[in-house]
Amino acid sequence: MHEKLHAEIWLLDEERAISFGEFCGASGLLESLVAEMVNEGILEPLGDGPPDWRFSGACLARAERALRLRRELELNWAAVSFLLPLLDELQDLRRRQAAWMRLTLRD
Amino acid sequence: MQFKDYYETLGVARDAAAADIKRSYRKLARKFHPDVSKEPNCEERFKEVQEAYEVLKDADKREAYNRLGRHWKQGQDFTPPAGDDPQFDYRSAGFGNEAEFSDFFSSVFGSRAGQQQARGSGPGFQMRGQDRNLRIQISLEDSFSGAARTLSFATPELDERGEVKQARKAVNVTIPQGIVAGQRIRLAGQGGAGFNGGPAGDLFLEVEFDPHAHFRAEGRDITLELPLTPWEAALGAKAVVPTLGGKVELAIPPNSQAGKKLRLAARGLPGKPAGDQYVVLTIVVPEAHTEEQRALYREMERLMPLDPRAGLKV
Repeated sequence: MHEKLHAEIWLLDEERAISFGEFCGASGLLESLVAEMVNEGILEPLGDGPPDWRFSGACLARAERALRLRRELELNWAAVSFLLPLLDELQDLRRRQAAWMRLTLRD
Repeated sequence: MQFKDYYETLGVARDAAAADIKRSYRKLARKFHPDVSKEPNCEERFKEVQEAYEVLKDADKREAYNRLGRHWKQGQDFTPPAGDDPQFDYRSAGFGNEAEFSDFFSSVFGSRAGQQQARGSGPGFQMRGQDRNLRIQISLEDSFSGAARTLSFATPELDERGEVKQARKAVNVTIPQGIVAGQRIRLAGQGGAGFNGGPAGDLFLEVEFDPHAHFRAEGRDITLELPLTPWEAALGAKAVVPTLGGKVELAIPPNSQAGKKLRLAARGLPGKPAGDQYVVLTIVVPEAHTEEQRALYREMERLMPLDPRAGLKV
Protein backbone atom coordinates (compact mmCIF):
# COMPACT_ATOMS: atom_id res chain seq x y z
CA MET A 1 0.00 0.00 0.00
CA HIS A 2 1.34 3.38 -0.92
CA GLU A 3 -0.43 6.51 0.10
CA LYS A 4 0.66 10.07 -0.31
CA LEU A 5 -0.29 12.67 2.19
CA HIS A 6 0.34 16.28 2.80
CA ALA A 7 1.05 16.71 6.44
CA GLU A 8 0.58 19.62 8.72
CA ILE A 9 3.85 20.69 10.24
CA TRP A 10 4.96 22.59 13.18
CA LEU A 11 8.41 23.03 14.35
CA LEU A 12 9.16 22.21 17.94
CA ASP A 13 11.34 25.00 19.14
CA GLU A 14 12.11 26.95 22.24
CA GLU A 15 9.87 29.85 21.31
CA ARG A 16 6.67 27.86 21.51
CA ALA A 17 5.47 27.37 25.08
CA ILE A 18 2.51 25.25 26.14
CA SER A 19 0.62 24.86 29.42
CA PHE A 20 0.70 21.86 31.76
CA GLY A 21 -2.64 20.59 30.41
CA GLU A 22 -1.58 21.05 26.78
CA PHE A 23 1.68 19.29 27.49
CA CYS A 24 -0.10 16.27 28.99
CA GLY A 25 -2.47 16.22 26.01
CA ALA A 26 0.33 16.43 23.45
CA SER A 27 2.44 13.77 25.12
CA GLY A 28 -0.38 11.49 26.24
CA LEU A 29 1.21 11.35 29.70
CA LEU A 30 -0.62 11.42 33.03
CA GLU A 31 -0.38 14.68 34.95
CA SER A 32 1.15 12.85 37.91
CA LEU A 33 3.97 11.48 35.74
CA VAL A 34 4.72 14.87 34.21
CA ALA A 35 4.75 16.46 37.67
CA GLU A 36 7.12 13.73 38.84
CA MET A 37 9.48 14.47 35.98
CA VAL A 38 9.43 18.16 36.86
CA ASN A 39 10.15 17.39 40.53
CA GLU A 40 13.05 15.15 39.51
CA GLY A 41 14.56 17.99 37.48
CA ILE A 42 14.09 16.25 34.14
CA LEU A 43 11.65 18.78 32.74
CA GLU A 44 12.18 22.43 33.54
CA PRO A 45 9.08 24.44 32.69
CA LEU A 46 8.97 28.17 33.30
CA GLY A 47 6.60 29.33 36.05
CA ASP A 48 6.25 28.54 39.74
CA GLY A 49 3.53 25.93 40.06
CA PRO A 50 1.47 23.61 37.85
CA PRO A 51 -1.10 26.28 36.88
CA ASP A 52 1.70 28.62 35.73
CA TRP A 53 3.95 26.04 34.13
CA ARG A 54 4.95 26.76 30.53
CA PHE A 55 6.66 23.94 28.67
CA SER A 56 8.83 24.49 25.63
CA GLY A 57 8.44 22.29 22.56
CA ALA A 58 11.84 20.79 23.37
CA CYS A 59 10.37 19.41 26.64
CA LEU A 60 8.26 16.99 24.61
CA ALA A 61 11.32 15.45 23.02
CA ARG A 62 13.08 15.43 26.39
CA ALA A 63 10.20 13.68 28.14
CA GLU A 64 10.03 11.07 25.42
CA ARG A 65 13.77 10.48 25.63
CA ALA A 66 13.80 10.36 29.44
CA LEU A 67 11.04 7.76 29.55
CA ARG A 68 12.72 5.71 26.85
CA LEU A 69 16.07 5.73 28.65
CA ARG A 70 14.46 4.88 31.96
CA ARG A 71 12.74 1.87 30.45
CA GLU A 72 15.47 0.65 28.12
CA LEU A 73 18.32 0.99 30.59
CA GLU A 74 16.26 0.27 33.73
CA LEU A 75 17.33 3.56 35.33
CA ASN A 76 15.79 5.53 38.16
CA TRP A 77 14.94 9.21 37.80
CA ALA A 78 18.13 10.33 39.52
CA ALA A 79 20.21 8.47 36.94
CA VAL A 80 18.10 9.76 34.04
CA SER A 81 18.41 13.35 35.19
CA PHE A 82 22.19 12.88 35.56
CA LEU A 83 22.48 11.18 32.18
CA LEU A 84 20.47 13.53 29.96
CA PRO A 85 22.86 16.49 29.98
CA LEU A 86 25.82 14.14 29.53
CA LEU A 87 24.21 12.63 26.45
CA ASP A 88 23.57 16.10 25.03
CA GLU A 89 27.19 16.96 25.58
CA LEU A 90 28.39 13.70 24.06
CA GLN A 91 26.27 14.29 20.98
CA ASP A 92 27.55 17.83 20.64
CA LEU A 93 31.18 16.80 21.03
CA ARG A 94 30.83 13.98 18.53
CA ARG A 95 29.25 16.34 16.04
CA ARG A 96 32.11 18.82 16.43
CA GLN A 97 34.71 16.10 16.29
CA ALA A 98 33.23 14.70 13.09
CA ALA A 99 33.25 18.16 11.53
CA TRP A 100 36.90 18.69 12.45
CA MET A 101 37.88 15.25 11.25
CA ARG A 102 36.41 16.03 7.87
CA LEU A 103 38.34 19.28 7.66
CA THR A 104 41.67 17.77 8.67
CA LEU A 105 41.32 14.64 6.55
CA ARG A 106 40.72 16.73 3.47
CA ASP A 107 44.35 17.83 3.30
CA MET B 1 9.16 -15.89 9.81
CA GLN B 2 12.56 -16.51 11.30
CA PHE B 3 13.22 -18.08 14.65
CA LYS B 4 15.06 -15.85 17.11
CA ASP B 5 17.56 -17.41 19.44
CA TYR B 6 17.29 -15.02 22.38
CA TYR B 7 20.00 -16.83 24.31
CA GLU B 8 22.42 -16.36 21.44
CA THR B 9 21.44 -12.69 21.11
CA LEU B 10 22.30 -12.06 24.74
CA GLY B 11 25.32 -14.37 24.61
CA VAL B 12 24.18 -16.48 27.56
CA ALA B 13 23.68 -20.21 28.10
CA ARG B 14 20.18 -21.68 28.10
CA ASP B 15 20.47 -22.37 31.80
CA ALA B 16 21.91 -18.93 32.62
CA ALA B 17 20.88 -17.44 35.96
CA ALA B 18 18.66 -14.33 35.96
CA ALA B 19 21.61 -12.29 37.26
CA ASP B 20 23.77 -13.35 34.29
CA ILE B 21 21.03 -12.38 31.86
CA LYS B 22 20.72 -8.98 33.46
CA ARG B 23 24.48 -8.46 33.45
CA SER B 24 24.75 -9.40 29.81
CA TYR B 25 21.88 -7.06 28.89
CA ARG B 26 23.54 -4.16 30.71
CA LYS B 27 26.78 -4.77 28.84
CA LEU B 28 25.08 -5.01 25.46
CA ALA B 29 22.91 -1.96 26.20
CA ARG B 30 26.04 0.08 26.85
CA LYS B 31 27.48 -1.20 23.58
CA PHE B 32 24.46 -0.82 21.32
CA HIS B 33 22.15 1.78 22.86
CA PRO B 34 21.62 4.23 19.99
CA ASP B 35 22.10 7.24 22.27
CA VAL B 36 25.71 6.30 23.02
CA SER B 37 26.76 3.65 20.52
CA LYS B 38 29.10 4.23 17.62
CA GLU B 39 28.54 0.74 16.22
CA PRO B 40 27.05 0.48 12.75
CA ASN B 41 23.43 -0.79 12.83
CA CYS B 42 23.32 -0.12 16.56
CA GLU B 43 19.59 0.66 16.49
CA GLU B 44 18.78 -2.66 14.93
CA ARG B 45 21.15 -4.54 17.24
CA PHE B 46 19.75 -2.82 20.32
CA LYS B 47 16.20 -3.69 19.29
CA GLU B 48 17.18 -7.36 19.07
CA VAL B 49 18.90 -7.25 22.43
CA GLN B 50 15.90 -5.52 24.00
CA GLU B 51 13.51 -8.08 22.59
CA ALA B 52 15.63 -10.95 23.86
CA TYR B 53 15.84 -9.38 27.32
CA GLU B 54 12.10 -8.67 27.40
CA VAL B 55 11.56 -12.41 27.14
CA LEU B 56 14.44 -13.84 29.15
CA LYS B 57 14.13 -11.50 32.15
CA ASP B 58 10.59 -12.65 32.77
CA ALA B 59 10.41 -16.16 34.23
CA ASP B 60 6.99 -16.89 32.67
CA LYS B 61 7.90 -15.64 29.21
CA ARG B 62 11.22 -17.43 29.40
CA GLU B 63 9.51 -20.69 30.20
CA ALA B 64 7.04 -20.26 27.35
CA TYR B 65 9.94 -19.54 25.02
CA ASN B 66 11.84 -22.59 26.29
CA ARG B 67 8.77 -24.74 25.57
CA LEU B 68 9.26 -24.07 21.84
CA GLY B 69 12.09 -26.56 22.18
CA ARG B 70 15.82 -26.41 21.95
CA HIS B 71 16.21 -27.68 18.38
CA TRP B 72 15.47 -24.29 16.80
CA LYS B 73 18.40 -22.38 15.35
CA GLN B 74 18.78 -18.62 14.96
CA GLY B 75 17.25 -17.50 11.65
CA GLN B 76 15.60 -20.85 10.94
CA ASP B 77 12.18 -20.69 9.28
CA PHE B 78 9.66 -20.73 12.11
CA THR B 79 5.94 -21.50 12.12
CA PRO B 80 4.11 -20.95 15.39
CA PRO B 81 2.33 -24.02 16.80
CA ALA B 82 -1.06 -24.13 15.04
CA GLY B 83 -4.22 -23.14 16.92
CA ASP B 84 -2.21 -21.98 19.86
CA ASP B 85 -3.23 -18.65 21.21
CA PRO B 86 -0.33 -16.45 22.05
CA GLN B 87 0.55 -17.26 25.60
CA PHE B 88 1.17 -13.74 26.72
CA ASP B 89 -0.21 -10.34 26.10
CA TYR B 90 2.36 -7.74 25.45
CA ARG B 91 1.26 -4.59 27.15
CA SER B 92 2.43 -1.10 26.36
CA ALA B 93 1.57 1.98 28.34
CA GLY B 94 1.68 4.45 25.49
CA PHE B 95 4.12 7.31 24.96
CA GLY B 96 7.64 6.60 26.06
CA ASN B 97 6.93 3.00 26.77
CA GLU B 98 6.94 1.52 23.36
CA ALA B 99 9.17 -0.95 21.70
CA GLU B 100 8.52 -2.57 18.38
CA PHE B 101 9.31 -6.22 18.49
CA SER B 102 9.62 -8.74 15.70
CA ASP B 103 6.90 -10.79 14.07
CA PHE B 104 8.45 -13.76 15.80
CA PHE B 105 7.90 -12.11 19.17
CA SER B 106 4.28 -11.29 18.31
CA SER B 107 3.58 -14.83 17.15
CA VAL B 108 4.76 -16.27 20.45
CA PHE B 109 3.69 -13.60 22.90
CA GLY B 110 0.87 -11.82 21.10
CA SER B 111 0.76 -8.29 19.86
CA ARG B 112 -0.62 -5.25 21.52
CA ALA B 113 -3.52 -5.08 19.08
CA GLY B 114 -4.42 -8.68 19.79
CA GLN B 115 -4.36 -7.95 23.46
CA GLN B 116 -6.74 -5.05 23.26
CA GLN B 117 -9.24 -7.07 21.29
CA ALA B 118 -8.91 -10.12 23.48
CA ARG B 119 -9.76 -8.05 26.48
CA GLY B 120 -13.08 -7.26 24.80
CA SER B 121 -12.89 -3.60 25.60
CA GLY B 122 -16.20 -1.83 25.19
CA PRO B 123 -17.17 -0.47 21.78
CA GLY B 124 -16.27 3.04 22.87
CA PHE B 125 -12.73 2.07 23.86
CA GLN B 126 -10.29 4.11 21.82
CA MET B 127 -6.58 4.48 21.93
CA ARG B 128 -4.20 6.97 20.41
CA GLY B 129 -1.69 5.53 17.93
CA GLN B 130 2.00 5.32 18.60
CA ASP B 131 4.31 8.24 18.06
CA ARG B 132 7.15 7.41 15.72
CA ASN B 133 10.62 8.86 15.46
CA LEU B 134 12.65 9.00 12.29
CA ARG B 135 15.96 10.58 11.51
CA ILE B 136 16.19 12.66 8.39
CA GLN B 137 19.41 13.71 6.64
CA ILE B 138 19.27 17.01 4.83
CA SER B 139 21.87 19.24 3.26
CA LEU B 140 22.79 22.67 4.59
CA GLU B 141 21.38 24.06 1.35
CA ASP B 142 18.00 22.44 2.16
CA SER B 143 17.97 24.22 5.49
CA PHE B 144 19.05 27.50 3.94
CA SER B 145 16.39 27.58 1.23
CA GLY B 146 13.76 25.26 2.67
CA ALA B 147 12.98 22.10 0.73
CA ALA B 148 10.35 19.50 0.06
CA ARG B 149 11.08 15.84 0.63
CA THR B 150 9.10 12.67 0.26
CA LEU B 151 9.83 10.25 3.05
CA SER B 152 9.06 6.61 2.63
CA PHE B 153 9.04 4.29 5.62
CA ALA B 154 7.52 1.11 6.96
CA THR B 155 4.83 1.51 9.56
CA PRO B 156 2.79 -1.09 11.41
CA GLU B 157 -0.90 -0.96 10.59
CA LEU B 158 -3.88 -3.10 11.52
CA ASP B 159 -5.56 -5.01 8.74
CA GLU B 160 -9.27 -5.91 8.73
CA ARG B 161 -8.63 -8.93 10.96
CA GLY B 162 -6.92 -6.77 13.55
CA GLU B 163 -3.47 -8.15 12.80
CA VAL B 164 -0.42 -5.98 12.62
CA LYS B 165 1.07 -5.67 9.15
CA GLN B 166 4.00 -3.62 7.93
CA ALA B 167 2.73 -1.07 5.41
CA ARG B 168 4.81 1.30 3.26
CA LYS B 169 3.84 4.87 3.71
CA ALA B 170 5.05 7.98 1.92
CA VAL B 171 4.74 11.42 3.43
CA ASN B 172 5.58 14.75 1.84
CA VAL B 173 7.55 16.90 4.23
CA THR B 174 8.36 20.56 3.96
CA ILE B 175 11.75 21.28 5.50
CA PRO B 176 11.37 24.66 7.17
CA GLN B 177 14.01 27.27 6.42
CA GLY B 178 16.71 27.61 9.05
CA ILE B 179 16.21 24.24 10.71
CA VAL B 180 19.33 23.12 12.54
CA ALA B 181 20.83 19.77 13.44
CA GLY B 182 19.11 18.14 16.39
CA GLN B 183 15.86 20.03 15.88
CA ARG B 184 12.69 18.04 15.46
CA ILE B 185 9.85 18.38 13.02
CA ARG B 186 6.48 17.10 14.14
CA LEU B 187 4.04 15.74 11.61
CA ALA B 188 0.76 15.60 13.47
CA GLY B 189 -1.25 12.46 12.88
CA GLN B 190 1.40 10.73 10.74
CA GLY B 191 2.49 8.23 13.39
CA GLY B 192 0.95 4.83 14.07
CA ALA B 193 -2.78 4.40 13.42
CA GLY B 194 -5.11 4.79 16.39
CA PHE B 195 -7.06 1.86 17.77
CA ASN B 196 -10.80 1.66 17.30
CA GLY B 197 -11.10 5.12 15.81
CA GLY B 198 -8.65 6.73 18.24
CA PRO B 199 -6.46 9.48 16.85
CA ALA B 200 -3.25 8.53 15.06
CA GLY B 201 0.06 9.19 16.76
CA ASP B 202 2.53 11.78 15.56
CA LEU B 203 5.63 11.38 13.47
CA PHE B 204 8.73 13.15 14.72
CA LEU B 205 11.65 13.78 12.40
CA GLU B 206 15.02 14.55 13.90
CA VAL B 207 17.18 16.53 11.53
CA GLU B 208 20.81 15.79 10.77
CA PHE B 209 23.00 17.53 8.24
CA ASP B 210 24.84 15.68 5.51
CA PRO B 211 28.56 16.38 5.67
CA HIS B 212 29.31 19.39 3.48
CA ALA B 213 32.40 19.80 1.31
CA HIS B 214 33.19 23.32 2.60
CA PHE B 215 30.87 24.37 5.36
CA ARG B 216 30.23 23.10 8.82
CA ALA B 217 27.36 24.25 10.98
CA GLU B 218 27.09 24.91 14.68
CA GLY B 219 23.54 25.90 15.39
CA ARG B 220 22.75 28.48 12.74
CA ASP B 221 26.37 29.62 12.41
CA ILE B 222 28.40 28.40 9.46
CA THR B 223 32.17 28.06 9.40
CA LEU B 224 34.30 28.01 6.28
CA GLU B 225 38.06 27.57 6.05
CA LEU B 226 39.60 29.98 3.56
CA PRO B 227 43.09 29.20 2.23
CA LEU B 228 45.28 32.22 1.43
CA THR B 229 48.74 32.72 -0.02
CA PRO B 230 51.34 34.29 2.30
CA TRP B 231 51.30 37.49 0.21
CA GLU B 232 47.51 37.77 0.42
CA ALA B 233 47.72 37.32 4.18
CA ALA B 234 50.57 39.80 4.56
CA LEU B 235 49.48 42.49 2.11
CA GLY B 236 45.73 42.20 2.49
CA ALA B 237 43.45 41.08 -0.31
CA LYS B 238 39.94 40.82 -1.58
CA ALA B 239 38.83 37.20 -1.69
CA VAL B 240 35.64 35.80 -3.18
CA VAL B 241 34.15 33.35 -0.67
CA PRO B 242 31.16 31.05 -1.02
CA THR B 243 28.24 31.43 1.38
CA LEU B 244 25.01 29.45 1.41
CA GLY B 245 23.33 32.46 -0.19
CA GLY B 246 25.93 32.89 -2.97
CA LYS B 247 29.38 34.40 -3.44
CA VAL B 248 30.48 37.46 -1.49
CA GLU B 249 33.67 39.48 -1.60
CA LEU B 250 35.58 39.54 1.66
CA ALA B 251 38.32 42.03 2.53
CA ILE B 252 41.30 40.33 4.17
CA PRO B 253 43.08 42.86 6.39
CA PRO B 254 46.88 43.14 5.95
CA ASN B 255 49.04 41.02 8.28
CA SER B 256 46.37 38.41 8.94
CA GLN B 257 47.64 35.26 10.62
CA ALA B 258 46.41 31.72 10.05
CA GLY B 259 43.49 30.90 12.38
CA LYS B 260 42.11 34.46 12.25
CA LYS B 261 38.33 34.41 12.25
CA LEU B 262 36.37 36.90 10.15
CA ARG B 263 32.62 37.26 10.51
CA LEU B 264 30.09 37.71 7.75
CA ALA B 265 27.07 38.87 9.73
CA ALA B 266 23.75 37.13 9.03
CA ARG B 267 25.21 34.99 6.23
CA GLY B 268 24.54 31.73 8.10
CA LEU B 269 21.27 29.81 8.28
CA PRO B 270 18.16 32.00 8.28
CA GLY B 271 16.20 32.56 11.47
CA LYS B 272 15.48 35.09 14.17
CA PRO B 273 18.26 35.97 14.55
CA ALA B 274 19.94 34.61 11.45
CA GLY B 275 23.26 32.81 11.94
CA ASP B 276 26.60 34.29 10.91
CA GLN B 277 29.21 32.88 8.62
CA TYR B 278 32.69 32.66 10.10
CA VAL B 279 35.65 32.53 7.77
CA VAL B 280 38.74 30.97 9.34
CA LEU B 281 41.96 31.81 7.50
CA THR B 282 44.56 29.21 6.65
CA ILE B 283 47.81 29.94 4.85
CA VAL B 284 49.19 27.73 2.12
CA VAL B 285 52.95 27.85 1.85
CA PRO B 286 54.37 27.92 -1.71
CA GLU B 287 56.99 25.22 -2.19
CA ALA B 288 60.51 26.17 -3.16
CA HIS B 289 61.78 23.99 -5.99
CA THR B 290 64.17 26.16 -7.98
CA GLU B 291 67.30 27.98 -6.84
CA GLU B 292 65.58 31.30 -7.54
CA GLN B 293 62.65 30.34 -5.29
CA ARG B 294 64.95 29.20 -2.47
CA ALA B 295 66.87 32.48 -2.77
CA LEU B 296 63.64 34.39 -2.34
CA TYR B 297 62.86 32.58 0.92
CA ARG B 298 66.40 33.29 2.17
CA GLU B 299 65.89 36.92 1.27
CA MET B 300 62.69 36.94 3.31
CA GLU B 301 64.53 35.40 6.22
CA ARG B 302 67.10 38.22 6.03
CA LEU B 303 64.52 41.00 5.71
CA MET B 304 61.87 39.67 8.10
CA PRO B 305 63.61 37.66 10.80
CA LEU B 306 61.02 35.79 12.87
CA ASP B 307 61.04 33.31 15.74
CA PRO B 308 57.54 31.75 15.73
CA ARG B 309 58.60 29.38 18.56
CA ALA B 310 59.66 32.11 20.96
CA GLY B 311 56.70 31.35 23.17
CA LEU B 312 57.79 27.72 23.60
CA LYS B 313 60.98 28.83 25.43
CA VAL B 314 63.21 26.14 23.94
